[in-house]
Amino acid sequence: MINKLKTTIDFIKKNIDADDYAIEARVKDSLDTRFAQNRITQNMSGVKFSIDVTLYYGSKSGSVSIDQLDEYFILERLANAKTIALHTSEDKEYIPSEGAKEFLDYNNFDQEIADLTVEDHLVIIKRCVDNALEQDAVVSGMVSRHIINSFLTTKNGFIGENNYTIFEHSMTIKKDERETRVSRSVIRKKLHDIEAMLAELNTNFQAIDKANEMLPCKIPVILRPQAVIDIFSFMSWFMDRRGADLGMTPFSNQIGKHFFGKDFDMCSTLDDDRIMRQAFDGSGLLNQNTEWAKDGVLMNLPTGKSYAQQHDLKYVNQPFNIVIAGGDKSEEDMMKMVDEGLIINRFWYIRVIDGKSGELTGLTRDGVLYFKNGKVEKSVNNFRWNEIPHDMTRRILALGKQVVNDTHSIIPTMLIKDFTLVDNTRF
Amino acid sequence: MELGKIAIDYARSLGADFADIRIQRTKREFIFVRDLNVKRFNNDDSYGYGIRVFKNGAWGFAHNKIFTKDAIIDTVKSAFNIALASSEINKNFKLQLTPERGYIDTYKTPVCIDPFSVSPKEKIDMLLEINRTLLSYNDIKQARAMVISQNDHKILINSDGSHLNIDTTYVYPSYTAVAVNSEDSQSRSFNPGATAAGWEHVLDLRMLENADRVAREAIMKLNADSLPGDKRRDLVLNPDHLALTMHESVGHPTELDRVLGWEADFAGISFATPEKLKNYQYGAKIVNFTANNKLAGGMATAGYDDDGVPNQEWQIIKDGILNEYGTTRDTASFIGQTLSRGCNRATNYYDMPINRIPNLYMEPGKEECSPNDLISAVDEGVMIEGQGSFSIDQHRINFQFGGDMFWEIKNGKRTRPLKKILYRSNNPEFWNSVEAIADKRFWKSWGVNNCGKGQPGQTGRMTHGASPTLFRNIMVGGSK
Repeated sequence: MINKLKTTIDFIKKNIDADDYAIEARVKDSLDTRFAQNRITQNMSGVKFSIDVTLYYGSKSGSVSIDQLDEYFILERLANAKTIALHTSEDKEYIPSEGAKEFLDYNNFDQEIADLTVEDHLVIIKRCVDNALEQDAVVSGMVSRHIINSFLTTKNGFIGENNYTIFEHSMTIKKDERETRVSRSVIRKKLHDIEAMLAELNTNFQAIDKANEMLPCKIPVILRPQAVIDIFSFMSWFMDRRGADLGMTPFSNQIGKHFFGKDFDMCSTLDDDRIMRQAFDGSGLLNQNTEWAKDGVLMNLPTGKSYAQQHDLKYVNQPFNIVIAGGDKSEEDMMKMVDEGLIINRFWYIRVIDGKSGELTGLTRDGVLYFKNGKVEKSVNNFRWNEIPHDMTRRILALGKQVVNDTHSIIPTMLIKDFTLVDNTRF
Repeated sequence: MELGKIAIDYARSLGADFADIRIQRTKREFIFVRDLNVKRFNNDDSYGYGIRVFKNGAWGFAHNKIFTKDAIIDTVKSAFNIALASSEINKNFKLQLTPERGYIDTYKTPVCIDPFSVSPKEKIDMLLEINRTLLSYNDIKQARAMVISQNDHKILINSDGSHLNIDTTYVYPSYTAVAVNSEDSQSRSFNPGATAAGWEHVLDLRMLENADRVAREAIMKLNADSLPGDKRRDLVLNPDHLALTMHESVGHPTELDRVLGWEADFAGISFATPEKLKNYQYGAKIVNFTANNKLAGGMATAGYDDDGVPNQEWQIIKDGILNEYGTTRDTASFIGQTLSRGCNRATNYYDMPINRIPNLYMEPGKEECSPNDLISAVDEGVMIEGQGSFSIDQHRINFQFGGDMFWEIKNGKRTRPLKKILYRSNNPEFWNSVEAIADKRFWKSWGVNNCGKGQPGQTGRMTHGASPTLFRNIMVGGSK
């Protein structure tokens, strides 16, 4: 299909007279199977594609998407883009499209994922349902496989292609008030081990009992990798040089300073093939290995190319993946380091409370365990927390080994002192 | 449409228990202006069809955008094979569809001025002028303005004999001023929500006339105090704020798919379980929530849902008691209902419909009561306008909300602006704390165009509404 779209792009190029342009074609072939309460509730398949065209006349632009390939339709859409561009106002921050570049072809494509069928999904789901039935429980979840091809070209000569596959599997087991979840999202099928996932699910499920009431407080917490990435991926969304320079975020004037705790290192890397590596972004700018925090010092903030040019700064890409440095402590070691605390599996519904201070709110989800004197004592209710992530890194007491958490992150478990719980879920 | 008939006939010939084809074209225009620069003027157009086949208690869904007889036959075959394979897993846990008759009908959102016929220049000029007004204040460091216009044309044909031709349009403009000083940064927005209407609605909103007030309130908020510490206080919540609170704490918990646990792995489930129907005190006795997919201007108003079920009006909460859910043809039978309430909707042609919140609003108070009457009944409290931070647990019990503008109430009077205010509560505490609701003169609607749900993710549309409402004794405080 992508080759057919490339032919269409040739036709598009012949029929535009813009000063500059960027054209991106995208094809996504997905198979998504949702299950709930031990039955399949949705099972969906299809290929969708589109070509996004942005035309520039001077510093004015108009964008359209094209998803029908007959020539009449394409010409009508191109005329639409031109009309928009000619009648709009200028973008004084316009920069010309990217030119030809050389870059490495990272291999994010896995034939084993591409070959997965509906029947393969059903085998996985049947195994999940059988496991739940053995425990007189119900299971809900999702199995998905995606094959994605994208192709970007510009008037100034950039040509780049990304082909990748993603396999996702999640499951939540539930019986009465007990519920917990395990999920994996991988770019190589060999990183998906259903028996390991079920063993983790069952271990967590057996550790959870009726949720005992516990009041909110400041308390040490062991954040499992999913909980850690939940917080720091959210924080990364408002890491931005423009916003920082305007004084809108906590990152203002902090580059080069000990903004984080000394044990906090975070980067984006093109060197680890277990997670997604993309050579360029959606406008053809090349991604590079980027340190965001090193020994607690804020090293970089994403900086758009036009903003960088205006302010004599270097362009810095977005965090295209997130790797947080780990340590060597196990959960058992961490439980022995503090008198008492909570083990948190995952967070939910994180939102910004205050953009300037960087304060976030969210809730625990899928099982909270209370430990004391080095041992898990009971499961407790869910909590609401309000925390400032960079401030939280100053309270890191220990780091666990890194794990590949999903397609875009490698994350350790963290032991954090005085985590701020502000409310509990009670009914 | 001939191709639709081919799809249904072929699905029948394969032995489908039920089948439908939804042919959908979505046109969407998005314009975004920041600091006098037109950052995005995008016109999307997606066109294709989704086919559902129901066989032996299981669904199969396949989508395509190639409109040939062979492609349609292949897509039906794919949906049928997926359903058949899925039914093996479901053999002891079958889905059931409630019955529905066939309808031949059309629906079109009343539109005076087609938003796609308005010139790009007119739209851009309006957004730029708003930018200029906001940026004319020194303390406003960033101005953002946007407008979305969308039209969806659906043809739904199913094996019940329905042939529906549905054409909906909505517009959604908004803008934000960000005020910054050396200590803090605060924003204020003009955000009227989305409305099923044409460009005439945008003109009626008097957007530019409000820009000066919005800029001044952003600066006022920047220089305001917060409240020291958490404390139980009274709240007067305006309709443009309450829309989101009711969406999260009443709308989602009463979607039957969540109640049944179908979203347990992702969006979450609901505390409002079926044994609570007709007996659970969800709110105070004066609290009545009406679902109404026939609401004029309602974002969910479309004549029929994507199950081919006609739009209806019913009560979700009646005199404070949980009365009913929003249901679909594949969920209703699980609680013994014989008909669906028509809440199955998909976003794009390639999305399978899912159980959605209907247009859902709180009825105004029956007694004569104004917002000033509510304020004068408060000794110590906060009035909140607009929307800010929002977060709720996966059972829809524990929630925390911020807002866009806050006013302190002292001894029955609105006294000074505040910032960084949050309130925290749990269902059922919150809705049972309602003491008074302003009357129908003050009722306003607020439309949602981006309700995230489903895997793969979809953005649903619905409208909420309320009159200003007084809540007693809620935990209110400032952020850190």
